[in-house]
Amino acid sequence: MQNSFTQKFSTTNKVVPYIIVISLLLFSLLIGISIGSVSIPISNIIMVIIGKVVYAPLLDHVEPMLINIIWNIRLPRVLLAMFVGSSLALAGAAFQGFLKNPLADPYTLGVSSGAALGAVIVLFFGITIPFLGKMTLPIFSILLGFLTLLLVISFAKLINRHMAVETIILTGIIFSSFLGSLISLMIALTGEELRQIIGWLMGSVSMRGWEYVKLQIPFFILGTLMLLFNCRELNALSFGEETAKHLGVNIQTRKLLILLGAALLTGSAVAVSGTIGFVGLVIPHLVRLLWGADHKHLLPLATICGGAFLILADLLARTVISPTEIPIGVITALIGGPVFGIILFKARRV
Amino acid sequence: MKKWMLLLLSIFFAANLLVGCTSSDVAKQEEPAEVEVKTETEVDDAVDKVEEYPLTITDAIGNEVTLATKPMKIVSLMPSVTETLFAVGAGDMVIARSDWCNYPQEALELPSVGQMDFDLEILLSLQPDLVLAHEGGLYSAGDKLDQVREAGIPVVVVPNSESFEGVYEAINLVALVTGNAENGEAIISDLQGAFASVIEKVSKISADERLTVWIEIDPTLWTTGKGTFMHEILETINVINGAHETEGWGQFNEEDIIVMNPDVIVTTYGYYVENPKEQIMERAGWTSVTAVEKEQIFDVNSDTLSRPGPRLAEGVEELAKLIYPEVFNN
Repeated sequence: MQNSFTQKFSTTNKVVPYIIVISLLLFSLLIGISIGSVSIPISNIIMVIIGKVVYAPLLDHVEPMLINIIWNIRLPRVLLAMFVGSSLALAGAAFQGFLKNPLADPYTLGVSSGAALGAVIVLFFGITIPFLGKMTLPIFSILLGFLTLLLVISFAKLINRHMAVETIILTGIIFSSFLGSLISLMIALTGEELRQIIGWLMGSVSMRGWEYVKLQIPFFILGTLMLLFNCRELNALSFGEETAKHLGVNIQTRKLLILLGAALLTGSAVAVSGTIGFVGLVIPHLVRLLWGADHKHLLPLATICGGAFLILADLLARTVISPTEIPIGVITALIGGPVFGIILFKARRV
Repeated sequence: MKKWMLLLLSIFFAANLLVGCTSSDVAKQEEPAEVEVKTETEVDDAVDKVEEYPLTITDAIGNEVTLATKPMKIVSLMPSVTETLFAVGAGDMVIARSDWCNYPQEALELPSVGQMDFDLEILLSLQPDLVLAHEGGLYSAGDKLDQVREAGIPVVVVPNSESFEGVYEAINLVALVTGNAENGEAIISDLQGAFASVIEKVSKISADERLTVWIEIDPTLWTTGKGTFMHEILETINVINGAHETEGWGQFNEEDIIVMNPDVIVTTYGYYVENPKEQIMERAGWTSVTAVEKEQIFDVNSDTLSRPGPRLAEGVEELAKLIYPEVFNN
């Protein structure tokens, strides 16, 4: 693994990878919206989208049931899968570079445990805050995710003013375990809500609708910008903090920005879809193996790939044994594991 | 995060079995219409009859259990079994129950030995002379039951009921071991009569008038498909189970329900989720579903429907009335 982090960043033309991943994303979006319980012709999809957004009369040409399925169910579901996949892959790539640790993933820092705890509390106690309604769960979850981040960072700072990487990893692991045990405690005490809690923990983008998409977009944009503006610093940091200092990186501030950006992405992704594994670990490695470790390209490529990957995983989750759904986390692991193994094998075999 | 996934999965599949013993708000329960607890005199009659003790029976898991004398201190570990005990007139022999046993009212006053995964020490301290367990609870209590047997207390495992026949078998077994065989037969024939009258009414619905029903057992679209008892109940009352192509329990995809376009939606989780009907009415994209358009969304008390016990006929009739009110209104 080591040499992928320290290999010379190639300055070759990077247009081809972008063309590949963007085509992949467009392809996923298209088949994700078109395939399902009913197959929907592309012409109908385009008519409904244009009809809903700009020119309503177009909708008269499409069956009401199809309009419902495209606009209220499939489109928000596919978009949510895309944003969640992108968020997780980008946060994972940033954490791996930042912590100089190939095993890091978006959940390393404990933000996800906080967000998961928030969701499980809402399900366990059946909390509904009046004006939030069914948005109680994701909002509560995001808040708890951030509270966890603040605690982790303050704790790490208390131990070590410079926030050494090891300190951050250890703190994250401690918090994850502690919050995880609280979740397990609630699971042990739960009665009827068990199926909902477990379903949520295994991850799903079904039955979320536009509200969840709207909830995640601002976090996604903010987090993505924060990380993309720091890709040069991530490059410097992945050579080690001393080197970064010599290169003139303002370490403290940059570190906080990177942590915060990745946490925004992770916390919001977990809040809207549960804890979906593997995306944040595997996609960044794949992109790194294929196109190098320069964060300037790694971050955007991983973002696009992650989105496409999760759209396809969700497509499989809802169609393989339709009408029954498979939890999306199961699919990401089933595909991600072997594919990653093959690529790693091919790339590393000397 | 990942560590407890495995644990979760195992609990999760086990949890499917728990659906069979949902506990609901007791205050909301109506008085039983048809099945009555036998009166004192009838119980006495049954006791006076010379029962064949020592009695040897083979239980659901093939164990030969011998009861030397008539059991006087019974612990019941399953709600359906508790209901059956009281119905056959063995209620005064029950000394403890499980957390889920919430019917009849007298059962609630008894001490509890915990959930399906009962507290062994409490159970042993009560010194029962018979423990009635249930096949559906073995996944969590199997090992503990071995310890109960080792302590010299007979354990009879009541079989799972996946059909009406199975319900009769279970009732029969409980009646037999407590020396109330006749009362058991009476309850079974009451049930048979009640089912027959429901079936007779719904048979007026012709094949093309049959309605499609979506059974929702929790808000994340879990349902009961082929091979489940609920499915058999639906078939019996001349209803098309929208999930008839799914084997066993399964989680459905939203789109398939919209394509299925059920005429009626029945939820069974109203006792732990508020306003299931309103929540379904608000689901984006469900407006084209017939059940939503016509507001044919009902929550049923799942205890009567999910427990293979003496109140099953009530649950079945309630469900049939909701779906086909027209044939019951005369």
